Amino acid sequence: MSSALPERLTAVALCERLAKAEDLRRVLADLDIDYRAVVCRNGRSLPRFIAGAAVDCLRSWRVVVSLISRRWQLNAGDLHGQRAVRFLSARSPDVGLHATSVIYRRPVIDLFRLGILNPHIGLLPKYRGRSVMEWSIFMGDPVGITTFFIDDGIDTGPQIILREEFDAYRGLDRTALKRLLFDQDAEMFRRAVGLLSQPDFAPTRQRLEDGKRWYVMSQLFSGVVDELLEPN
Amino acid sequence: MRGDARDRAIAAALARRLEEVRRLLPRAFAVDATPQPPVDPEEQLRIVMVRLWPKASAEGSDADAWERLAEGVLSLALPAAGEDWRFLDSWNNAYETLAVGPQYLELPSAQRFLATYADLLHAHVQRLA
Repeated sequence: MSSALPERLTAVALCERLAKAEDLRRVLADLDIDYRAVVCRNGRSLPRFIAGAAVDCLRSWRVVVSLISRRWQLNAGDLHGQRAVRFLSARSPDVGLHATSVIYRRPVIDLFRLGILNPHIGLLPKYRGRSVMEWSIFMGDPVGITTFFIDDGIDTGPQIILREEFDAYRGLDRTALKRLLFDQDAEMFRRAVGLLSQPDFAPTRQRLEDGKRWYVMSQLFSGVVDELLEPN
Repeated sequence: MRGDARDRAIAAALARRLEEVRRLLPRAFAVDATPQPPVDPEEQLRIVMVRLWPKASAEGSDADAWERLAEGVLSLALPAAGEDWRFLDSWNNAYETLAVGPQYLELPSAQRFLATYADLLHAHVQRLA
């Protein structure tokens, strides 16, 4: 992507469960990158966060090793809090992998040399915002995932790394299709980080005026989407 | 699915909704005047969908929240009559909020909302026919 690329990219997964960090690690394992993770509570219930972390540690010894070796941080605070920011600053990460529910503020975005990747379940620049999978179907357009670098706006980050259409979804209902798309996140990260590691890779640009923002779809129109998804 | 089949599915859904809305409307009610379009419809849509609608549909919301939502949505009547479905869908969402909180149905704002919504639905059904 740039002639100033380091030999090995440092990618930090930004998660809310250790299990998610471990899932991403597994999928990214074949890439020659320095993989790290920050797992933050981000305002969710503390007992549930602790219980979830305990279960995830019991399920995988790799998780425990990653925490003990301080490659990963388990953080009962917020991603924008001092502890997480210190961890990130110390590692000078190249790429963040968005796997949380937080809205990123500029100081955290700026900690990543290239940016924070977001696998958005809509095809940018046309489909920004909410219910974009449903709106794509409603409008008769293909569904898909766009992996791009987050900025301060709603899905307006100017650098698109990867844009993937999915047309083999007939027969799935709305919930199953959404699950299928969300479950592609690790693979999208793997492919996007792979592309970013190539020195001659150039992202596609999107401009603010290239698309519009969509909002939560009504029950009425969601019903139309359900009907359109039904096999003929 | 081909465009005409999609249009048929949309038209059928809108026609069903129109029947529902008409059942809630008093016979004598008519829309008094065409509302003025907002200066910036895109920004008004954002305000309706990001601020007013979530407040009005939250648990424990009150009549004031509904009134503000109705006012916001009514200002989107002209764009909602056009081909950008996002604007009509803000009306669909507002209606679904009203249907869950029927205590507001007697408010003049609710009656005005329903009458205008019925006109919008009717116009779209005709357009897609």
